[in-house]
Amino acid sequence: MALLLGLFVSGIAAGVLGALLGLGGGIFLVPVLTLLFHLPVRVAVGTSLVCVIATSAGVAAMASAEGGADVPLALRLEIATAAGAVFGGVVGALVPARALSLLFAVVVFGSAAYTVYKGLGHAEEAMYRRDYRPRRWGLGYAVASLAGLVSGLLGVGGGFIKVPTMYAIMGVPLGVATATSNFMVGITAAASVFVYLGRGDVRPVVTVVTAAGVFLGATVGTLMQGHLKVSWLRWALVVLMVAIGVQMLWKGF
Amino acid sequence: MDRAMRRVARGLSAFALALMAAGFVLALAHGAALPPLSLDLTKRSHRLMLFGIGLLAVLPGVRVLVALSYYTAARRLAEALVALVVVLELLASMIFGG
Repeated sequence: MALLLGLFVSGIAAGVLGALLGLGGGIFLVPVLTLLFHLPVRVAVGTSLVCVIATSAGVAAMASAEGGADVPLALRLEIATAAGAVFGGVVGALVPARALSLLFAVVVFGSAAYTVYKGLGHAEEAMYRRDYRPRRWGLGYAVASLAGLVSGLLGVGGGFIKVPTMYAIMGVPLGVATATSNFMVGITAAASVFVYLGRGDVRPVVTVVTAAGVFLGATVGTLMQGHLKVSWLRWALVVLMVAIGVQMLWKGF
Repeated sequence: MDRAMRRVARGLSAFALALMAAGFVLALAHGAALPPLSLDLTKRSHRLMLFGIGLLAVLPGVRVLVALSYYTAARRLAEALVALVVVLELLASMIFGG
């Protein structure tokens, strides 16, 4: 019972963080499920994918009109991301667990570094302005495919790649990028979750308890969204990514 | 479209969560220990929970379908085509993965 309570609380934390930062919560959940609760990594990945969908659903259920996602942008990028996710889900069974941990760490550190670079010397900006045009589509698609591949391999929604990509590379305001990523991570996770369901890597008790916590956390996180500054969110994202990267590096070695 | 997506998200996720909760309560009610990693499709409780999980898993695809129908009705055909490609990718993942 203590394990199930711990999973529920972890789910709440993942849901709140995910909703605030445009992530699915998997980047937090997969290390917690493997390092703290000692779940087999493929079960952790399968559980996390369901929870990413729960985060996206929770945010969608509570979203307001002015804080909404750029749906056309999301769908365009998802063409590349969903394809990458299916491929990642299929080959995930072939990649050793340690290699997955190291890959996770590398991707996370890269995203954190770019987000810091983007944030240096910039004045506070409007989170949800609508007078923007996304640019650098080629690079955006390439990184979106990578986000999908990482999602299918590691059980994350890829939001920690998508948010910096949309914000720092494609010129989308951070609040819009966050909301758009919340919409996208559910689709990305759905593209690979059926592979894990088919393999029996989604265990009902663990998944139900964690997903319930995630859904609750995501609805709370969405309500908090409009009250926070861009710089706070940016640095919270960076700190979280570095902490997770260090833990996964340790696990990989 | 945003309002329709919000309604779909609320309705479908509420139903999925209700099924998951029902399955979990059923497992608890049987009085046996709840091994967290067990997967036993002969147990009704596990089947209920997995059905709820499956329903949650199709929610993103349903939201894309909402976008597809909205863009088609509004004659925004380029965006409708993009949405259709994403729906087909999700369907392919269900068929080949599941």
